[in-house]
Amino acid sequence: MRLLKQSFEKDRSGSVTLVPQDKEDLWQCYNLIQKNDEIKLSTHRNIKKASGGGLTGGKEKGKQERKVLTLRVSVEDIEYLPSEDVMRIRGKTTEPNEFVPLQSYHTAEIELQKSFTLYKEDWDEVSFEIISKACSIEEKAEVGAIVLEDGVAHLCLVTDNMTVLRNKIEKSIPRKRRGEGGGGSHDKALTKFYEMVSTTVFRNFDLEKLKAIIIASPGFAASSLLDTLNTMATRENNKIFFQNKSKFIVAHSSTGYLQGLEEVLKDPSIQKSLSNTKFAREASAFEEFQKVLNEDDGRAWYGASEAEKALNMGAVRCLMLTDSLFRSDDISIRKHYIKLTEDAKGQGVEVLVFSSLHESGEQLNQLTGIAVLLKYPIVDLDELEEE
Amino acid sequence: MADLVDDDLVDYSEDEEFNEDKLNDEDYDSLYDALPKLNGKVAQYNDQIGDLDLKEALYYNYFNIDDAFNELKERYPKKKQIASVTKAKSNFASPSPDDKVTAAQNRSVEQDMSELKIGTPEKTPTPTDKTVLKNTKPFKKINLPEELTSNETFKKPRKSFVVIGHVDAGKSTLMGRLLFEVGAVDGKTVNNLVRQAEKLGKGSFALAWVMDQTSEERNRGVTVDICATNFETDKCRFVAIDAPGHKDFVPQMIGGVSQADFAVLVVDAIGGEFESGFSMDGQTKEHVILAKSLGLDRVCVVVNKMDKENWAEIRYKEIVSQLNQFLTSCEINFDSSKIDFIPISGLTGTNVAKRDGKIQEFSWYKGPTFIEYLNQVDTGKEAITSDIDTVLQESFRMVVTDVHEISNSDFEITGKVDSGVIQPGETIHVNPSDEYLPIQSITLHEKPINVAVRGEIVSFMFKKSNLKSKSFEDVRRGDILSQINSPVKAVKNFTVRLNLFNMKKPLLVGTPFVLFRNNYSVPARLSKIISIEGGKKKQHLVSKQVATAEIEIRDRPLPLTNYEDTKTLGRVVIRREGITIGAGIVVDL
Repeated sequence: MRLLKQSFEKDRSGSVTLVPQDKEDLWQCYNLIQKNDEIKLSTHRNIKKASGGGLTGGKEKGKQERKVLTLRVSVEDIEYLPSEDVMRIRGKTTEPNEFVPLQSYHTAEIELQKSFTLYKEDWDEVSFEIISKACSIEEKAEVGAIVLEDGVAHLCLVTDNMTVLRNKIEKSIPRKRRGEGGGGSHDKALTKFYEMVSTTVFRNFDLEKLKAIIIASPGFAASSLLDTLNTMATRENNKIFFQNKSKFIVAHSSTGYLQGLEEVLKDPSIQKSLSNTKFAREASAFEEFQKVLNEDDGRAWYGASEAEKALNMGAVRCLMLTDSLFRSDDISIRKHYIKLTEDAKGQGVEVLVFSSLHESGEQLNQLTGIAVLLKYPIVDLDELEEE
Repeated sequence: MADLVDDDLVDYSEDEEFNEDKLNDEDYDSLYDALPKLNGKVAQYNDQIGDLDLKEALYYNYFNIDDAFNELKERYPKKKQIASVTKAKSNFASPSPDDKVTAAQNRSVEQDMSELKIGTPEKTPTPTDKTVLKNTKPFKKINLPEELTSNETFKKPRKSFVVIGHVDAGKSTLMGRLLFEVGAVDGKTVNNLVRQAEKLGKGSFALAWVMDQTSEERNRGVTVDICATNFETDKCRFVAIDAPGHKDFVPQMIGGVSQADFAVLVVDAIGGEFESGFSMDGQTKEHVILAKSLGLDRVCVVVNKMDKENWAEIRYKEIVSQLNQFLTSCEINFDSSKIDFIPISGLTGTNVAKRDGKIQEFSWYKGPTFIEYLNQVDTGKEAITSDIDTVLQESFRMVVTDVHEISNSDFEITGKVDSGVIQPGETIHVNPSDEYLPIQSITLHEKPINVAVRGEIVSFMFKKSNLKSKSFEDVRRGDILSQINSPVKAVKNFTVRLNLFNMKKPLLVGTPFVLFRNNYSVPARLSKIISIEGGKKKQHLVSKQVATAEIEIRDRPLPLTNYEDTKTLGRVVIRREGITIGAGIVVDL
C-alpha cells in the first residue's frame, strides 16, 4: 500500500490518502474502514441527463449518462470478497456535487492502484498500526501452495494476512484392478489428473513473482506432480519454469484437502525456507494453545470474560485475538478490544492479532475469537468472581 | 366371507388381476374400511408401497388387515411374481355389470375420502407421484426367494476379508501367495513377475506384484490403494481386499475395511519389526482400532515371516500373548473368542495352503493352515439363504466403491450391497448427484446375475445417456445408490455421538478434520458441541471423552443415514493430521 498524504489533528481526527496495490492491501483496507468513516474517491455514477430546453431536450430526457465523479461518502456498509480484487462501500454523500445531491446513496468500488482518502473522527492505535504495517517497504512475500491427493488438488496463494483458494481440481480416478497390466485405466486417469493440475499451475501461478511454491500431499502425489510439471515444461519449452525451479518445495501433509496446508505451514523446516513469519507465528502459537489446552491444567483459556479476568490478574503470557473483533460495527466493542490489547501490551504480554482469512484465525473465530496462554495455572478461571 | 366363494370356478384363471371396478358393494365397503388402517401400518414399515398394492393385498386376504400386512411384508419389493402365487389361493367371481357401475361411482367418492383419512401425504406416495413414474420394473420376472436359495453362486458361503497391518508386514505378498495357491493366478503369471522383479533387483516383491499393479506401486515397493479380488475354494467364495499399510494411505485402507466382514491382521514376526509396527505410531494399532470402530468384530492374526525366526515357538507365543492382551484391552475390546492366530510364511508359502513335515522346527504347530482357516471361519454374515425374509424386506442400499468407463455409451458402478435386493431393469437413485438410472445388467465375479443381494460385491452397468449431466464423473466413490424414495439424505450438517481416542490436541469447535464414512472421505469440522458425557459443556473436547456434537461438511453434501437405519452407513471416523482421533455414529440428520 502506498501512503500519499496524511494529516492528523490534535483531537486524533484526520485523514490519509492511500493506494492499495494488491489483494492483501484490500484486506487491510477492509479492516481499516469502519462504519461512519468518510471516504473521498473518484467513482462512476449514472446521472440522468437534465432536461434542457431546445428541440433535442425532449429526446434526451430520461436518458442516463455514466460519469466519473469525485464524491465524499459516509460509509454505511463494506463488502469484500477475498477472491475478487475489488471492495465495495456503500453510503450517503456528504459533500454537494454538481450532479449528485447531498445525502444520496452511492456505492463506490475501491480498486487496486486507485487512490482514495479516508477521514476518521478518531484514529486509534489499531488503525495506525494497520497503516504502518501495510505501508512498510519490507518486501511482501506471496507463496503459492498446491495441496493434493489422488483425484483432488487445491491451488492457493498465501500472504501475510490471507490464504486464497484459487483453483480446485477434481477428477475421479478408477480403482486399480487385478489383471490390468500396469494399472490400466487407473494409471491413465492419474496421469491425466497430474497433467490437469500442471496446466492449471502454469496458467495461474506467476512463478516469477511468487517467493516459493509448496507442493504438499500424503504419499507420493507431490513428487509425482513435480515430475509431471518437469515433463510438461520440457515438452513446452517453458523457460520460466526452469528459471524458478528452485522455488518448488515438496512437503508432506496427511490429506489433500485444504486443511493440509496449515499442517505444512506449521512445519519448521518449511517455515525456514519461507521467512514469511506472521502466519507461521500465528499457526504455531495456536498449535501451542491447543497443546496446553489438552493438558487441561488451567494454563489455556478462551472466551472474552476468561481472557479479561486473566489479564486483570496479570497472569497472561500470550493474548490471541482475531481481527474480526476489531471489525465490529459497534464502536464501543472495538474500543473495548483496543483497550484490552493496549493493557496487555502495557503488561508486556505478547499480543497476536490473527487474520481471519487464515485457517488458524478462522478456527479462533469459531472459538469465541479470543484466547490466552497463562504464565501459571489458574484452574477455575471460568467460575471465579461469578457469584 | 362365504359369499366370496363362487361355485363357478370356470371363471377363475391364473392371470386374473385384482380389479377394483369389479368388486361388489360389500367387498367395496370392506376394502375401504380396511385400507386406511393398513396404510397406517404399512407406512411405518415401508412407505413405498402404492395404494393399488395395498388394495390388492387386502383383496387377496379377505380384507383381513394383519394377513394383508404380512403378505406385503413378505413380497415387497417384489410385487407381481409372488402375487401371482398367492392369487392361486383365491377364487373370486366377477361382479355383475351393475355392480361395476355402482362400484365405480362409489369409488370416485370414497377414493377422495380415504385419501383424506390417510392424511400422511409424505409417507404415502400416490401412483401419480413424479418419482414413482421414474421407477421401472425388473426385466425378468423371477421368484426371488427361489432364486436366492437355488442359485449355485448364492448357495456357496461368501466371506470377504480385508488384509491389514503395518507397512512391509507382507500383506500383498501373502495375498499373492494365497491367490497362487488357490489357482486364481497361474504359475506362468507368477514366473513372469518373478523375472520382472529380479530384473529390477526386487526379487522378494514378485508375489506382491500380483496385487500391486500400478507402476507407482511397483517402483516404490509399497501398496498405495486397496485391491479387491475374488477367488473360490471348493467350500467358499471369497472376496479378499488388500489394504495399504503405509500411514499416508490409511484413507484407502478405511475404504477396504468398509467392504469386509472380518479382518486379517498381518504382523511381522522378525525381532524388532513386530515391535515397531506395534508401537504407538505403528499402523498395527491404528488399523486394528479402525477395523473395530468400523464394525468388524472378528480378527485373524497372521504371524508372517516365521521362517526368518526359524519357526520358533517361543517367538510365536510371545507375539500371541502380546497381541491377545492388546486386542482384548478395553481400548480395542475384541471378544477373545473372535481372535485367532496362525503362523505362516507368505514368501515361502509354508502353512498358507499346506505345510510339509520337512521343517522340524515347525512340528509343534497343530492348527489349521491359513486356507483351512478361511474355509472354516464363521463370519456370521455369509449365509444369505437363512434370512431371505429379512433381506427381501430391506430397502436397497449400496455404496459406490468404483466407477469405470466401459465404452462410449456405458459405464459401470461397483460396490458392496449394504442391504436389500435389486434386479436388472429396476431404477436406482444416486445420492447426492440426484441421478435416476435404470440398471442395464448386474455382474458378480464377472458373471451376469439376475439379482444382487446384501453382502455381495457387484457391478451394475448403466447407460451414459440416462444421466442428466451426461457425465459419469459426477458419480463418485462413496456415493450411495438406493431405491427411489429411500431415507438416504445428502447433508451438510448432522449430529453424531462421538467417541474420542487419545489425542495430542483437543478437538475445538471449528477444528477442521477429515471425516470418513465407509470409503468416502470429506473435509469437515466440529460446528457445535451439544453435550459432553459426565462433564460440563465446553467449546472443546479432550481425549477419551464421549460427546454429542454437530458436524459441518465443508465440501459437497455427504449422503448418510442414521445409524439406526443402516448400521454400515451411519458410522463415521474422524482423522486429523494423519491420526485417527475418534469414531462416532450418526444420531440425527
